[in-house]
Amino acid sequence: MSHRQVARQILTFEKRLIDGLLCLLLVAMIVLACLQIGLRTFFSSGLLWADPLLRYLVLWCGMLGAVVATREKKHIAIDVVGYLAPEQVKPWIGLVIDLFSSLVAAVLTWAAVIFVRNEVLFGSYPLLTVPSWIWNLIFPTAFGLITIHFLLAIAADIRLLASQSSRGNEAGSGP
Amino acid sequence: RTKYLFKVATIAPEGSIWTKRFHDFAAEVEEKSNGEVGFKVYPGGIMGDDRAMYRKMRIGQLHGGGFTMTGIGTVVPDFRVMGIPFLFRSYEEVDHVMEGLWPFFSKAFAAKGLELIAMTEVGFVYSMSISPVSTLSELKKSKIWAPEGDPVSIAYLETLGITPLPLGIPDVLTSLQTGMVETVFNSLYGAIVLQWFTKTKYISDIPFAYAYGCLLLDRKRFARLPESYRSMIKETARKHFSLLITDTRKSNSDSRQVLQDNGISMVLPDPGDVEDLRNMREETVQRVQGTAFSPQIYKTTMKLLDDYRNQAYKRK
Amino acid sequence: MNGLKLLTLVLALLGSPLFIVIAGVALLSFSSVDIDISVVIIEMSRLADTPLLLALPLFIFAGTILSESGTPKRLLRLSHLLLGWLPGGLAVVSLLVCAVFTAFTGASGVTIFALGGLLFPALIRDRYSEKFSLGLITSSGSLGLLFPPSLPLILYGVIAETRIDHLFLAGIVPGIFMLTLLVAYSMYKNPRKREQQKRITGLAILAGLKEAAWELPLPVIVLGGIYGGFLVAGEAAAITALYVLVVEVFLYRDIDLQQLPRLMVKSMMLFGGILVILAASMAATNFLVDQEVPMRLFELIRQYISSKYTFLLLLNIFLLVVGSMLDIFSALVLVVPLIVPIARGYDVDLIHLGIIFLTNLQIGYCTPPVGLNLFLASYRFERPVIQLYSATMPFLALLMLTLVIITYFPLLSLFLVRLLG
Ligand code: NA
Ligand code: NA
Repeated sequence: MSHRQVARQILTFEKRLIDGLLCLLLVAMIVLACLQIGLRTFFSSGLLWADPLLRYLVLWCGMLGAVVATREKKHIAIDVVGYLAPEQVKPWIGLVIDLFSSLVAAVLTWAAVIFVRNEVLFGSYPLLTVPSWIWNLIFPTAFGLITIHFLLAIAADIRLLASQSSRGNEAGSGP
Repeated sequence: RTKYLFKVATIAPEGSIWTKRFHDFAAEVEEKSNGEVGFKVYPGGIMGDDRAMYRKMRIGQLHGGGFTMTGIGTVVPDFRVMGIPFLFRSYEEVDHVMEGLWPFFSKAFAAKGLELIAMTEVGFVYSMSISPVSTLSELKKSKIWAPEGDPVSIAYLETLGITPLPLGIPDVLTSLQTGMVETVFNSLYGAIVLQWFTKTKYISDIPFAYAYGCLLLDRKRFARLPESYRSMIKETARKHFSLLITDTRKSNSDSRQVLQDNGISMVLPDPGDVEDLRNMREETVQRVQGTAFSPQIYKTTMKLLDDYRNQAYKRK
Repeated sequence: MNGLKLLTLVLALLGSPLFIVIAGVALLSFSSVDIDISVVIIEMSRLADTPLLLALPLFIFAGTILSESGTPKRLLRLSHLLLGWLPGGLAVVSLLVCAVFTAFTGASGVTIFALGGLLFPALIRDRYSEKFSLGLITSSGSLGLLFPPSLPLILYGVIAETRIDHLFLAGIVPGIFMLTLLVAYSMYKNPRKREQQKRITGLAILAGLKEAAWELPLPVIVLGGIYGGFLVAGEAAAITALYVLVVEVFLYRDIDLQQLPRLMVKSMMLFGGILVILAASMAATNFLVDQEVPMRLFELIRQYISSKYTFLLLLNIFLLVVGSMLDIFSALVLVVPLIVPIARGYDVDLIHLGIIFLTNLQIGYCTPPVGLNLFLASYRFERPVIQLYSATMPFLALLMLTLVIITYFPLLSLFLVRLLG
């Protein structure tokens, strides 16, 4: 198998994993919240860990959802200038944006790694005997994946620009 | 110009007795150090709850905080020991035990890089409900709150056969208003300051447990101060924060009238149930000892308490 | 440092993801005052302490399911049966259905795409002018944001830390007022020469009711649950999500099981897009808090503006501009934390403030040059944006009138809260 094939397989696997995880987490959220209401209404009791767990599920869903939004290029943005820019400039703008985004996402990943390291050293509040740093692993994981998707977008931008300029050259050298 | 700046946060609201006394303390420290030591205060939880505050102290964004026992208890578990339900019978007992435990607490905080500057008080807490609760079985039927991250009161309630709903203090009011919880615990003044009394129309007239907190500064930053300033700060703190304790107790006793004026009933609990509630304490301690706090600190606390009670008995 | 921040701003205008821009500014700001950058993540981690947040993903999921199912069609058919006989009946139906639908799905463009596609040809067939029809649909695309369980209303509650059930109550009267104005205008614009309507029989109404029988209880579940004191917003969202799932997948079978994972991922993607902006803006806001900016800003403004009403006027202008530039979620997340402490200083009720925010941002959807609805409608109906500018004008004028009344008569918003809250 070529490098490209391996890379494509890894990406497909990542997509399936994240999508599957999101479905699972969402179903868990609905079931757990409804179960808690049921227990409270009919047995006037509840699960001690359900509400804190629900809050982490919300966080995990949101962060993984943001990974999907990066993959699908569906992040909320103001693109007044991007909208008005001439067609030839647009790929360049795209490249600059993706470069900038990967940089910020990489720094965020680094900040998240520091945060989790501090949680390992000083953290507390275990939930269901799982220490807090594990619940917070979602931050470096999600920002890491977001960084990778922005880097992939850079690669795609460069390929697009290269194909454009080669087409431009062909057009220029033609009779 | 301020040479040594301490950024200090708390969840206590601006304008409450706790922040007022802190401002007095800060002003006196600034004056005595000719402005070299200064404080910036972030009240009302704008820097987050106790957990966020502690995290921010670790990375140096904050240099101190007014913490609640439940919040900082996850960092220094032994600090929880005075919060055992039905441990104290009077504020005199509290004062005696607190003085005896100070060196232990101070050492435990120091081990975590925190300098204990002063103890603060919420006071004796009462169970407060939306509906009148005078018997244990009525209490069991009610949806009961427990402070998040407080294994002692959660274990106590579980011993009673109750599954409480753990929530952070900032979320309690909303949960009361929406009916998600029906019974909460707070001091009389605390219930007024946090507006909980607008919902809890019935208060069981028996002090459930003692609630408290402390003022901590970052130990490294504190150590950078000249020795004279360090002792000056501690002395000033002793003065202002013992005034704060007096304030708190006065506010709590004044609040009883305020609450009654607002149509809140103090419900006398069933005497048999009170005995049962007290007896659950021992069982709870057996369950949580070693995880929620160390057996040593519990032994020390009980010794201090017994000494005081014996002496008080002799004095009589 | 300021140069870098300026560069970030340029990158924002070029179309960088907003969360990247805000996080970038936060990271730069904290490192410029020598605070460890992991504080950005500490702030983000506080999202796990916010119980109110649960309502967002669950209502988004329910909304996504509803918009991909046959609900818009059934809802439309039923309202047409019930209200079609009125003068301007179809326009009235359009307004009501859009409002209800937007309340449940958020103004994410779904209303214009799903309902607009059905309504526009019907309006034309009923001999409404093209201009009127386009204007109506464009401005209806964000109608209903004041009605529960509107997502932006929940988000405002999360950020401003106000009671969501009170916000829901507060939105009802202003929302109905706004609807009434628009309905009255539509009745006035009722085309004179109309085809003879088919007579609607009781039997047809019964059939319509039966068809939508499973969807009709939805508002009752949401409102009854919350105001009956059984459920908090997050729980109402969970019940709604479960209910919608069962109804659309198993009872109506509009959505088959294989489609479900795609919709789940899609809704969590929408939620993720909002959550990271919220997370990043918490970090940026914390920098401002750290530097005591809101306090200083208030003192500065206080020097120039003493009256609450002048403040509200300027706030409205500011929000209209923001609303026309930013999408509603980013606008809320960026502006609310800054305005709330100032508004508190001017003694503005935070619930009332929420309704003012939402009304402004709703109008921002249709404000030239860059209101989102204008672009969505231009794309959907293949008309130049300029044509939509003029088509929306009369509706915009009515919405502005409501804004003024909502702003200067706080009781309109607070009346129900005082009565029932
Ligand atoms: Na919070
Ligand atoms: Na939008």
